[in-house]
Amino acid sequence: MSDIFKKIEEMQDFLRIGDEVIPFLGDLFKFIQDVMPLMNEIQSSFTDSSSKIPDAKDRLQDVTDATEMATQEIMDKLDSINDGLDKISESVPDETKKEIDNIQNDVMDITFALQFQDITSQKLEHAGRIMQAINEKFGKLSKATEAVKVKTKVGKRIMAELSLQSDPEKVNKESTEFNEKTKDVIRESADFSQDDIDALFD
Amino acid sequence: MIDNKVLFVDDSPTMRRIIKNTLKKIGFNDFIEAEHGIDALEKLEGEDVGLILSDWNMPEMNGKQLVEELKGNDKYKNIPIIMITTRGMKEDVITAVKMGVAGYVVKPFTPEILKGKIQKALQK
Repeated sequence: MSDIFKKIEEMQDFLRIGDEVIPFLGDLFKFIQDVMPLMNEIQSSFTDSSSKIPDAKDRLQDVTDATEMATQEIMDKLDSINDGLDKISESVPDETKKEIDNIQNDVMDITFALQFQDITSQKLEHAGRIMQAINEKFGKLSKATEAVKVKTKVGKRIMAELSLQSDPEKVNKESTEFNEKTKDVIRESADFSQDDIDALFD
Repeated sequence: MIDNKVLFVDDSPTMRRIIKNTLKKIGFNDFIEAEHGIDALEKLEGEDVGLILSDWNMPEMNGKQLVEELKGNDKYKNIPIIMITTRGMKEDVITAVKMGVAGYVVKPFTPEILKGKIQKALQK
């Protein structure tokens, strides 16, 4: 008899736990149902944006290389001005030497102002590393989302519902908007020179 | 003319040139240039260098690692080192001081600032 009572008590405990767990599972399911579309959207955006990251990083490096080259050219000119002034300084009166000295100090100030090139390059490099790190994080999130979508029953069910609700026009519009926003403003063509452009006006 | 040979380490050709011009203006005439820490250690071999100016952020081996290498080597530990860097946070400076650098200059700097730090480092 006591065994029967014990079994009944165990069953009551089980039902009590069930009463607490079932609403929790309901909430959890609702949460997953809300989060999945968002994850799905992030995943499709990621596919668009991740392909642009390497190109964006290369562009930042191009900026660094171009400013580096331009800075070196400016420095060549400044050095040449300084050398010229040194030569002139050898054969002029003291009064003029003072003037030349002032000009050389100004040249030195211009040289020092060119430190901006190094500082800007470091900032661009930092921005590139941040982009890369975010890209990697989104990559992981995307893989995790894919796993939930494909490997879990809940994921499959939600995805089936989502595909019924999905609006291909909206998806296309968002993708076009993204591509438009990230379109390159500098459009170069190696096989179309200034001469080719001028020829069109002849 | 100042007799000390100076090693300056920076991955930016622009900065190396600015430092070189400043050193010339101050009166130094004997330089060794290096692009990063490993390059600096290789170029230091067999040289009698009296002052080192080093950037912090560099590829291969950064300035902090270079200072650690130099301070851990009996041959180089007494050479005064000045850090020239974009890292101006207090904790960066404290780290550098603890490592035993003789001076710390934050970019962008003026010729006067660099000159002052070099003179102070050489007097120590």
